[in-house]
Amino acid sequence: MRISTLIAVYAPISLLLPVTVALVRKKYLVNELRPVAFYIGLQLFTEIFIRVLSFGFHVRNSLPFLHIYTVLEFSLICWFYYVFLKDFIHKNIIPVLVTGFLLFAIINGVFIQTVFEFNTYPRSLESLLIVCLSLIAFYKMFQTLEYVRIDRTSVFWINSGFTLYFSGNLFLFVLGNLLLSKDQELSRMAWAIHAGLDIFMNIFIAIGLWWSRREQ
Amino acid sequence: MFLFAGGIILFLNSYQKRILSNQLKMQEMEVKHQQELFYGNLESMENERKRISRDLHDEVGAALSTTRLIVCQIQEKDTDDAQTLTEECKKMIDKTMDNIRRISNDMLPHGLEEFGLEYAIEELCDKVMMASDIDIDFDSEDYHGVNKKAELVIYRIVQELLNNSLKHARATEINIGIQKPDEEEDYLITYQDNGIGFEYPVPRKKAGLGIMNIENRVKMIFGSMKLFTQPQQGFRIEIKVPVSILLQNEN
Repeated sequence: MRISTLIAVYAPISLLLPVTVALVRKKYLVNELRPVAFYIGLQLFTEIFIRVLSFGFHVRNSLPFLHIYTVLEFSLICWFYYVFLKDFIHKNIIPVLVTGFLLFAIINGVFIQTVFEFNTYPRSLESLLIVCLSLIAFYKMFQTLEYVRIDRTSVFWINSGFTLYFSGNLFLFVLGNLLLSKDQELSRMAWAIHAGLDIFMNIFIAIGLWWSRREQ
Repeated sequence: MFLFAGGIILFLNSYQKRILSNQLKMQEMEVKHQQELFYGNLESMENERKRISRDLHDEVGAALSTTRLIVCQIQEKDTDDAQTLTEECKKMIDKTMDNIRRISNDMLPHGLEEFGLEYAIEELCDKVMMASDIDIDFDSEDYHGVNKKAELVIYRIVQELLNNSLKHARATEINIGIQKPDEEEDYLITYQDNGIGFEYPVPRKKAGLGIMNIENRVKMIFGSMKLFTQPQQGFRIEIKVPVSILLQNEN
């Protein structure tokens, strides 16, 4: 089996790491960590659900579910940033972003792209917005200097995980349909990179959750 | 990936630098605040001493002088018994006046404000030599301090050290020096006696309040000190005070 395929196939196993940490530290997962816990739950549910659809019901195209997943994912990540940034940026910015994104995702699914193809526009927009929010979060940390040891805080690790995953995947999401329809080898490589970034994000989130309530 | 890793490392590095710089600023502010508090306390203490000194000198001293004059007048007019009595009165009043003068001088270092630290220490040494058998050698080179508050702190340190030598050390010789070694940023104040010394740091833990006071005073003028002493080997202390502190205009 090629290494790229190996990474892509076994990457979801890395999800078990943040899931385990979240279960161990569940009583400390409050405030901005609550949406992160839900996000891990959503990922776990999606993985199981897609496998059940694929192997149990032989559904070949699970992309319609990705459209719903994208909206849920964006909402949960925005919830995380809303709690963290509420006293730093205007309170209404993030709720407006979520509402706007939801409308755009619906319009895209109905009028622009069909639900059976990769939702490149919402995925790209989602990545772009999350990268922006993560940069604002980094800026807030840098300006407020709330923590003496930033490397021992949940927000730093989780925010780094989101920045890495969404900035790395931005171009992949933009070119998603093109990659799926064109060269097989290139497509495999691209999705292996996606899986690699997913592994890193899961590790970063696990570290972040591990530091819950240990913040200085 | 490399870009991301580089970015994160840069962020962490800059963050820690900012944290350290903030902590440093906070510490500096705290030290400054402590120094201001100390100077404030010192100033109020010295003001109070000045007031008491003036009162002793101007009011009590003057009243005693007048009393002495009256007694003299009685002496001229009265019998032999009265003369003996008034003679005793005169002696007592003279003694009281001397005491008042001494207390007044102790409270306000004579000549410190007018003529500076070197003069005040010389005066102090003279007084100690007159009152005891101790031989004191005071040597000062290249001293140009102007900060009266810091000078007062140094004066009090020397006073405390002399007091210790007199009370506990049984010393016969004392050497005091103020030097500015070439290319050094600090004045070096040395004090040495040939007394009985003590085991250091043990006495400090037991009853070293005098040394603690000296240490606190040295800290307040951003100085540092080194102490050398052992039983029967005398006592030596070296105090370094930044030139910048002594040249700082207190106004």
